[in-house]
Amino acid sequence: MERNGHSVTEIVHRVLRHLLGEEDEREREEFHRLIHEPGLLNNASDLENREKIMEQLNTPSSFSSGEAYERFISYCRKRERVRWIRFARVAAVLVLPVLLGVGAWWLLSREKDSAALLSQVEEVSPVSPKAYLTLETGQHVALGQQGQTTMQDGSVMRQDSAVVSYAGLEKADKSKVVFHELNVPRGGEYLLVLSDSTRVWVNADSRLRYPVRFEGKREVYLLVGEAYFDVARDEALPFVVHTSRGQVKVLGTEFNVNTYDKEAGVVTTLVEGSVQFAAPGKAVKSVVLKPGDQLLTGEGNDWQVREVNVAEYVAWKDGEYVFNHQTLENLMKIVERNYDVTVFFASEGCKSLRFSGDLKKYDKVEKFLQFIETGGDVRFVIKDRTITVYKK
Amino acid sequence: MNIEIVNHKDRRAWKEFFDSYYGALCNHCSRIVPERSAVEDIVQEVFIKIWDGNVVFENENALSAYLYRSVTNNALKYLRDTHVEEERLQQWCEAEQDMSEDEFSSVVQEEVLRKLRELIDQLPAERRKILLMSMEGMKGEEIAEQLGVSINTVKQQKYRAYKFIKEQLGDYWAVAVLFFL
Repeated sequence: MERNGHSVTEIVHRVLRHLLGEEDEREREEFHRLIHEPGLLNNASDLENREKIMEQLNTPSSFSSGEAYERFISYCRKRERVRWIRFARVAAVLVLPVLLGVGAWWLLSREKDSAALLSQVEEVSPVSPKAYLTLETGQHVALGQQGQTTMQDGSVMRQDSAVVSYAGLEKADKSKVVFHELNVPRGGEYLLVLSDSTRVWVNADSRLRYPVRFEGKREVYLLVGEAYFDVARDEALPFVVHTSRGQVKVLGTEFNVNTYDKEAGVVTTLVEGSVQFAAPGKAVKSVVLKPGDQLLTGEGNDWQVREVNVAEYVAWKDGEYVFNHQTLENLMKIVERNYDVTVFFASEGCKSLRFSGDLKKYDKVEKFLQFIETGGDVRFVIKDRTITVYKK
Repeated sequence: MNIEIVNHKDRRAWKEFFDSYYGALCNHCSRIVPERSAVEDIVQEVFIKIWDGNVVFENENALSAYLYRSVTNNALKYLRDTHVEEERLQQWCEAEQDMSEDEFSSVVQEEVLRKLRELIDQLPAERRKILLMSMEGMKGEEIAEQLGVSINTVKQQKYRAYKFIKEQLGDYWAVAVLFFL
């Protein structure tokens, strides 16, 4: 949004700095000149009037966003229901002949079926992955359908419902490193094959930035979330994963990097080979891990290496979550990410209950919740993609 | 405003996004369309279109531009469709490709207040109160007396509040510069 070469953002920023009195003499003059520029703004005097702005700030808005949001959400839900009803109609057509067949069979055999056909349970399935790629040009490519995109440099990006890979890179211009960013939303998961044939499973609610072709070094950036790396062996070129808290450096190896939990920091779990972790600005401090080791980098300097049951931390890439004596609070975080639902604890005490078992990623969530219900003193109520946890 | 929240359509986090923009967009819209009920419908529709559609935003600037543009366009469309106030329509439609002075001023006005609210809301309660009092022109001693805290507390809280906002604006500024280089 521009006018006479000035953007809204620029002017808003200047007004706020002026309001806070955070400018020197020169900036103040510039500010006055800017907002009084002929033909730019017709409310310049309001914008430099501190009292007027404070008064407006303290006046409650005449439009209530709370009510409006309720209206918005109920509208969205209604649309989802409509879609579901449409689907149900199609399904009914398919199911009806089957039912007729079954009915005939039932009449003939006279066998009583006690299955609770009428019980209405709202089902929550894992959301289909709707990941998208951000290209160097800023262009977004929605993933999830089969297809290929030819890049400016002539190389080809292939994608299908769950994998992205690149081909024809040797033709490309070697002097320029092109970066793509893979965004996987809640409820999604994606497998990426990098140019050195390293495979990366990117989990729900995560972002990975990587060069389309490695040139001289192998480095990727896990901006948010969790990823599992199966690194192609190359003794000469170590593979480096940068995170906001430091970098993981490896030779051919399999390992998992998890940055979901702010308190635990970067959780690196090693399956095979050896990796090294180094924090930024603390070049001296690095740790080498052995297979089965896990490194937790919390706040500050209290790094911790421990031996873990690897499956518990990496099984997600094979569509399974294995957990052992895990708190319900942590389990429900996994459920939120994978099913894109909201979890609400009606009873705070339930958070610290601990469970062991496994969750198949593509199962309906009910199956998992039923399992927890039979094992513990909790009860779940699912409504509108919100799961409420009660004490039994 | 974390742009990923908007792009990922996380329902819980969307409320934050909705709350931040709703009032500002309604105010802007009501400068074009006078009927209150129409104003709220137009703004709702813009949110719904984002929710249902596949638009992905690069950053907050792009999001703001999209929102104010859509609201403006839909408001003009509403005026045209309902054949009311043809004069007013004339006025808005004759604007050059660049934003008109009225439209631009309206957006600036709303964004100043919205951004300021968003920044202040992120401060802890006491710090927020002290910042607001100080912005209203109260002296440090007056604030200390009225809140029953030491002058040092006031100074420290004020310093932290300004530091936070400056940092946030720093970000904002950097984005703006990048955008126009």
